[in-house]
Amino acid sequence: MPSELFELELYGDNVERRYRRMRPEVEAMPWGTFDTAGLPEAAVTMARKQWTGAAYQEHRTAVACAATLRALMECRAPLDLIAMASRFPLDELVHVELTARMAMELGGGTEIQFEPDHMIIDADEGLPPLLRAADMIARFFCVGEAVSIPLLRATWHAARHPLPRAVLGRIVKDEAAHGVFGFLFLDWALESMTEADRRHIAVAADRGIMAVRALWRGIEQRRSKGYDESLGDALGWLHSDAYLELAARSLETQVRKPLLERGIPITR
Amino acid sequence: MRKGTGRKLLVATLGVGAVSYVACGGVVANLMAPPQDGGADTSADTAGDAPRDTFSPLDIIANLVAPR
Repeated sequence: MPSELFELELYGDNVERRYRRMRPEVEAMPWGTFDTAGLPEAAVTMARKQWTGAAYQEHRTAVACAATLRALMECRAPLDLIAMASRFPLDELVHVELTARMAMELGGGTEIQFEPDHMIIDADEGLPPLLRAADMIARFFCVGEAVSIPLLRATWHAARHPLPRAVLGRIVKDEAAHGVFGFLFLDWALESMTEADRRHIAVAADRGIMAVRALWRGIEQRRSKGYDESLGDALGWLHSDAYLELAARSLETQVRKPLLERGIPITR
Repeated sequence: MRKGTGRKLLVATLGVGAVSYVACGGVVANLMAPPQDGGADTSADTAGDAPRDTFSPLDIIANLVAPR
């Protein structure tokens, strides 16, 4: 399948007004206040790329949340737990808008090519519904969302300008529920699972852990030697050293420890 | 992008900071990872560098905005 350019649009009119009523905090943020005058062009381009990439990741996360929601309904998870998860796709779409608008605030999006049919890996259709849900929740929530919370919170604290602070603050607030959701699901689902099921969940979680570590190895290998921390903070991200130290600690405390405590035999 | 009548929310500049998620995908999460060297140039870089035979970066999602 041919790749597509990652760009986004709003329908507008009544549809947008309904959306705005659901999430009024988006328009309340101080849009139009980030003045890039005086910042090096390369730094601004870097920031545009980072925020465009964040928008793409949020978009993929929305896809993953929607796929997980379907699996939760198929396995007849507790209704209140499904209801909790039903908010997540909208949260992620809001984050897509916030990060995309940050990129536009800085001068516009950068080029991302992607394949719409291959944004996430679904669980094996041959698995029973409960294990399908557990497979995705282990990868997407128990690893991805759980480890992201402390990193997002630290990035929020590092951001000084009111606009990226508002954007990151909103994302941090929403993601808190996403981060605990995976373990709430496991606490319910594990009661009816076999040892083989637990091993399957461990393999899924291990795949997620390896993917995160691969990302961080890339940061380690390609970290900027001429990094200007003051610029970075102004634009809304952490210094690489601080990020990588927190990432390693967070993976241990937010992901590996709670999985092992629940008897999930991860090996990574 | 598909031709539509909606209001543009994100418009990309071709050739700037180009990244391809084709056949690799990268971590499915926004981890607010910091930027890296070479990230501001116009060369395409890969979104995932892990061996494809052991796992796929598409396996997880996260909101991992990473550093430079």
